[in-house]
Order: sequence, then C-alpha cells, then structure tokens
Amino acid sequence: MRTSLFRKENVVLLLGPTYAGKTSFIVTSCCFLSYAEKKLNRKIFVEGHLPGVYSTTDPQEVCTKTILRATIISDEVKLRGGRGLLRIVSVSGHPPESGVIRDDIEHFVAGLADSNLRFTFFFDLEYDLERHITMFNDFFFPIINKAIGRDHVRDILLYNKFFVVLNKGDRILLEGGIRELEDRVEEYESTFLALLIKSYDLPEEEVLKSYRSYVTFCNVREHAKLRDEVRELLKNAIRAFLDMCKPVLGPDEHRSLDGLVGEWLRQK
Amino acid sequence: MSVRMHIPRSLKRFKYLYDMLSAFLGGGSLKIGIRKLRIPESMHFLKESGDEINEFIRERIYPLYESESLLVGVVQYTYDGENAEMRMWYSSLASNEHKSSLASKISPEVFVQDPGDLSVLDVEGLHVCYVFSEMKRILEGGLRPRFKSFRDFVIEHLDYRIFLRDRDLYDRLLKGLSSSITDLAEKLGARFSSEILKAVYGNKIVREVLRSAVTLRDDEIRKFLEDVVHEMLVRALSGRKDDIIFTCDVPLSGDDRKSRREVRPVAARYEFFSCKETEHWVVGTLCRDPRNKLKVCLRIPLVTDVSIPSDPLIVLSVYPLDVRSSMFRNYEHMLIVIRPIFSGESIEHARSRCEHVVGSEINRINDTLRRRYDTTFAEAVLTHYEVITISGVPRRRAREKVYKTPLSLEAMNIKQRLKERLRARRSIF
Repeated sequence: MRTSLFRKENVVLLLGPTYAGKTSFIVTSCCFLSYAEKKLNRKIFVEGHLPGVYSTTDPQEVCTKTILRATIISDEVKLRGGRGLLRIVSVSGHPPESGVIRDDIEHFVAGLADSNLRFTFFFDLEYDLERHITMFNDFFFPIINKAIGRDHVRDILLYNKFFVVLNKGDRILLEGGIRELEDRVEEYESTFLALLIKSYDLPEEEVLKSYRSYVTFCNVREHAKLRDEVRELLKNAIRAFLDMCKPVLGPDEHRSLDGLVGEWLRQK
Repeated sequence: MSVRMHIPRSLKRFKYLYDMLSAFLGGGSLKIGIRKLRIPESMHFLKESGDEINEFIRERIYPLYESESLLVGVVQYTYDGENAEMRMWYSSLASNEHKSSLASKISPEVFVQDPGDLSVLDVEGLHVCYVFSEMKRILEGGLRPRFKSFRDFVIEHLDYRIFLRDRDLYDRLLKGLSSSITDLAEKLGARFSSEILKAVYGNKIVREVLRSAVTLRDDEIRKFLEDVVHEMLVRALSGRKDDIIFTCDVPLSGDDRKSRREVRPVAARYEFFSCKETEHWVVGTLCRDPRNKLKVCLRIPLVTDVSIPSDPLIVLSVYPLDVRSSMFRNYEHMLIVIRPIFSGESIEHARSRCEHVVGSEINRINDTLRRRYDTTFAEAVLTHYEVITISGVPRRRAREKVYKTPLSLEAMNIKQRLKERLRARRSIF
C-alpha cells in the first residue's frame, strides 16, 4: 500500500454494468440521508453531481430530480461524517473499448489512486451473468488496472475490503420467489469472486473475509406500496450505504443513522 | 398593383413542397407586387394654355442650345387620338457627325430642325415632353424609344422634365399602364405556373430534394423564389428587379413557425457507443443557449463560435467543457459524436476540421431525421416528446449485445469451491 503523511481522501468507487443501478443506489441513499438529516438536525450531505441536478448541496434534490439512465462519465456525492469526508463515485457502466469516454473514465479513476479507495461491484440480477463477466474482464478491470495499477488494485481488494451489491433482487423475488433469488445470488456471487480471485491472483480465504455482499432494491421512486420482502431489500441497500460510510461516521452517528432506517422504510 | 399567382395544383403530389410553398406564401398564392409609378419631382402638370412648356423651353432649353448634349423630345397624340408621335430636337443635330448616327436609329421625321418648332405644340394632345442633358450617354447606350422600357429609360437620365397636360391625363396614363401591366402579369401568372413547375423539375436543388421525398426549408424556398421565379418575372416584364417584389398574404410569425414545429410528436436522441465508427471521437452535447439557439458543446480544448450555414437555428459552440459542467450535463435531447483533436495538430487546423466534422455530422443527422422521421434536426431538438434513437445504439440495447464470456476452467473450479462455502453463510435478509 502507498502511504502518505497526509490523511487520505475516502472514496468508494461503484463499478458495474450499465443499468445495474449505481445511480439509483446513490439516489436511494440520498433520499434516506435527506430524511435522516432532518431527523438528526445535522448536515451530512455536502454536495452531489448527478445528471439532472448538476451540482447540489441538497440531498432531497438528488432524490427527486436526478435523471436516471443518463450517466456519461461519472456520478458523485460527497458526505461529511464525524471522522471526515467520503466521496461515493460511480462511473459509466458501458465505457467504450476505446475513445475519449474511455480515456475520461480512466483519468477519473486515476485521480482516485492516491485516496483511501474501496470498490463496490454492482450486479443486475436480471442481466446475463456471462455478460457481466465480459464487462468486468473487458471494461472495468482493464480500466482500474491501467488507472491505478494491478498490484495496487490487488492490495485495495485485499486490505481495504470491497462490497458486492446484487441489485434488482425484487424482480427475481417477485417472479421466482425466494428460492430462485437465493440460487441466483449464489451463482452471481461465486462466479464474480472466482473471476476476481483468478484475475488478481487473490487468496480464496482472504477474499471471503474481505468483502460484504448485499441483495438490494434501489428503485426508491417506486410509488406502489412495497411488499415486506422488497422493503427488506431496500433496507439492505441502506445498510450497504451505511457500511460504505462507516470509515467517516462516528460510532454514535452510525448507530443513530441505522436506527432511522426502519422508521424511514415504514413510510415506503 | 399586384397579381396573384397560384401554386400549380400539379405540385400537390409533392406534398411537402406544396405545403411548404403554401405555408411560405401564406395561403397558397404568391402575390407579386409591382411598384406603382410615382410622380417624379420633375413631372409637371400643364395649365390650360400649356405655356409652361414654352416657358420651360425658352428659359431652360434655349440657353443650352450650345450644349452638345442637349436633347429635347416630346411625345404627343396624333390628331386621331389613337397614336402617339415623338418629336425631338438635338442640339448637335446640325453636325453631320451625329446626324448620320442618329438618323440611322431614329426616324428622321421625329426630329425637328428648329427647337422653336417644339414650342408649337398641340397642348391638347400632349403626352409627355422630356429633356435630356446627357445625350452622349444616350448615344453611347443607343436610343430605345420602346414604350415598355421608356419609363426606365427616362428615369435613368436624371436631368429631365416631364410635362403632362393635367392630373387626369396622368391618372389615365397610369391606369392604362397599370391595367396593361396587370393584364400582362395575369397572363404571365398562368404561364409562370407552368414555368414554376418546369423550374421545380429543372432546379437541381429541388430535384434532389424531391427525389429524397423530403421537404424544402424556408430559406431554400425563398432562394428558389428569388432566384428562379423572380428572374422569370423580371425577364418577362422587361422590368427592373426592384420593380417586382414578392409578398406573402399572411406572413408567418416566429410563433407560427414554432407552433407548427411543436405539433410534431417526434424528438431525437443520439447516443454514443462503443461502435467502431465512433472510436477516437470527441463527445459533444447539444443544448440551448440563452438566445434559444441550439448549441453543440464539445469537450475539446477550443473555444469558437460558428454557424452552420445550412441551418441558421444552429449555433455551434466549441467549449472546453469540464465533465461536470452544468452545460455538459444539460443534454435533454441529443449527443453528438465528433472527431477529436490529435496531438500535433495546430489549433487552426483542428478548429477547421472540427467545424467541418460537426457540420457534416449535423447534416448526416438531419438527413437521417428527414428520411426516417419526417422531421428536421432543429425540429427534433426543439420538441419535447418521447425519445427516439436515431443513430448509434441505445445503451440498454448495447448492453444486450455484449458477448458472453464463460469462466475459464480454473475459475470454474474456484467457483465450485466457493459455492459450497457461500451456501453455508447465505443470508439474503
């Protein structure tokens, strides 16, 4: 790991195929934050840059006005906890194999190399698993390898831990039931971990210890009354968000935010 | 005075052309205005005696007798009242030098030998009297006493005076002239209908446009009317270009045009993807600027502002945009894929190349829009309806085109081992 005399910036980088729900995840988190900020009477959200809202300091604006399916290069929100700043950034889910967009994404990721970086890998449970493999193999791994360096990526994966978000669980749940969802989650998770282990030559034991996975539902703008199971998946998304924020949140902050999740969900 | 020319019905089978002409002409007819003959300052109405002419000749012409450039002429009706005759006196007529040249052009009886003879006029039958002081110019240009171009001929030579018997005569003259021109124009109108058709068929631009079954833009119609139809009218009426003007009965206001545009339920969106054609290209964004012009913003380190000549609605602005710039994010409708600047290229070269590429790109999009969606680039962008992908591949579809990669055998083995362990710790909620 590289070291620095200065405190490093905390960054969570979301990677995954287009329409996997990276922007939706950020939007959902901001909806919760907006609620939590009012309840706690405390400002956590610093600023956000997302399609449709451009630059804003209001999480409610991100929650309601962000245009989904429109990320060209990246989305970003910045939060301030008791222990410092955290940036949650996501990059376009379908970077071309080459060209300016690809260059921009690489430059963008390269700018994060010196930060205290953690990866979050997004999956769309409805999207073909083998296409996920292609996207990670051909797009995301080469980008982070080129921008950050393969060894550095390996270190980050091993020591900084990473997250796996398996999104759109609601659709599988409603169509195939819990059994189908469990099978698919197992298939996707094991495949991805195998791919990661193989690509970065990671020790299996260490990998199993160094990640957390969440099966989520991130369509917070869904107006229909949510079923209890789907509400649980939404809860998972907020849990994932709070876990990502953990390094910058004080213990009390985390506890109080966590305590508000159930209350917020009851409104849904 | 004006005449209406109806758009030939035979054009109706080219619906777009007909509609556009109708819209442009405001109700389906072209109104050709021919400027009225105004009373020039040098025109005088005679009193009962007609002494003004004699006085004018005595005071103004006699002193100029010595001038070689003086020519005095009168046109008056003959006694039978049905024909007009012209009589002229030219100060240098006496000299053989000019006499021969003039005599060859003008009937000898037109000339009077003594200017005094001009003062003995039949005032009752007087039509017009004129004096030219620049005879040399007339001689150089030749004397063309044809009635149709007579007015122009007179007006061309500034130092002249026209005497008319009275206002009534002037009015009758004008009325006669107007009606003759109107009659002529009406006849021509019918003929031009067919000539317009011919011109439409023969006009290269129109032919090409018709072939691709698309519409003409306003500026193209204007150009067609001004270049082709106007030229035909000028030629036929032997008039000056300024005398024939086009007017619309109901001029279209900007709002009308906009409302016509807004009823079209079509919009376009242009997405970029990892297709071969778009590799190494710069991405730009189309948005609107404060002047409500469309703006193509490119993420390249250049600043310029050019107009696309074929479409005045579009202003191309090349901005050094930051990824997070609000303008870059403000892409409601369309993304344009543009060629990038290569290292080693000069700024000027890059700029010119870029403008060229943007122009051709917009033209290409325009063509696609016209061909497929029966709308134009500007219309598509200015409307706010459902998005249609016109080029490139939508991301949703593109992601379905990603080929499938199976896990390698080694990874498959790892997966099998992991599966067992994951099953043990599986918990979704």
